[in-house]
Amino acid sequence: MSPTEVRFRRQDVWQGLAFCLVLFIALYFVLDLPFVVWVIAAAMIFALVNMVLRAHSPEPVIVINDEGVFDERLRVGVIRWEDIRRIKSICLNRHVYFISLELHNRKTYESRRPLWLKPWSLAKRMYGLGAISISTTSLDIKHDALVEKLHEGCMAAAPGPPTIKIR
Amino acid sequence: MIFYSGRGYLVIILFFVPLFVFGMPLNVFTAKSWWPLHSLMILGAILIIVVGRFANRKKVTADVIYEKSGPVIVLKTPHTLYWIPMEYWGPILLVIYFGLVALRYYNAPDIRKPRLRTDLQELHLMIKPTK
Repeated sequence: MSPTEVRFRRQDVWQGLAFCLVLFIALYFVLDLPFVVWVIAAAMIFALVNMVLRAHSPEPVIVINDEGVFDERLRVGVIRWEDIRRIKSICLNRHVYFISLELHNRKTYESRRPLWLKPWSLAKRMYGLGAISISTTSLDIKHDALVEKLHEGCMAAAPGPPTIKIR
Repeated sequence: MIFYSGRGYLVIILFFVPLFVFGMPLNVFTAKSWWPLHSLMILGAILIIVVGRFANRKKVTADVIYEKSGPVIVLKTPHTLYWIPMEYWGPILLVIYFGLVALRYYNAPDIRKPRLRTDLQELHLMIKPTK
């Protein structure tokens, strides 16, 4: 299969940052919010600035090639095609899309993750997502196209022909 | 709440289509006999079976599982109502309908006897030799 590099859509990231800044400035003048809310707001703005930096980085976010799929955000390295058991497409709140990957050896991949990312994967599980799930929001490839690419890669690496089962 | 997939909701509409189309001209609700009403319900069930079988002739991919031995493509029926394929609803609704009819007869056997039965009784009286 042809190697594919996926990056953030710069316009979306800037729009998100601008929206959040306007929202928080408006809230600052209108409401007398507790300190915790401002800490969360600061964290969100920090995350968005980080996204802007990533969007302008020459390095791709996701790389798909013959070996497998690599998502820089997951911090698990290359997920080999042979290790993927199931690809689930999940939509949260009609706008946030995820591709949840069910793996044959999930624990091996999870052990590669840094400790600070573990709470994040636990939070994802609360929303019904797998620990290894790729966010496809604000990427320069459509969600369905990325799912199709992943299926293509898995099919190419499959050891035998597909069997059909009727549910 | 109605749970359906694809065109599964058509089951409810199709079951009553013959009743709405032919019910008025045949006066099924005011007729002495129940048979026109029963026939229209059976027709509705047949319609569901025919349309359901036609709509569900092609299965769609529900899931792909990449097992160690090879990929397994799971196919599913596209048009369902409460997770039951559309065509199976024809017999199910008929069973429910005749169950309700039987219950009604059981509770009030004298309300509206089927015309066919009364006709047969009349015929029997007619051919019965009188002393």
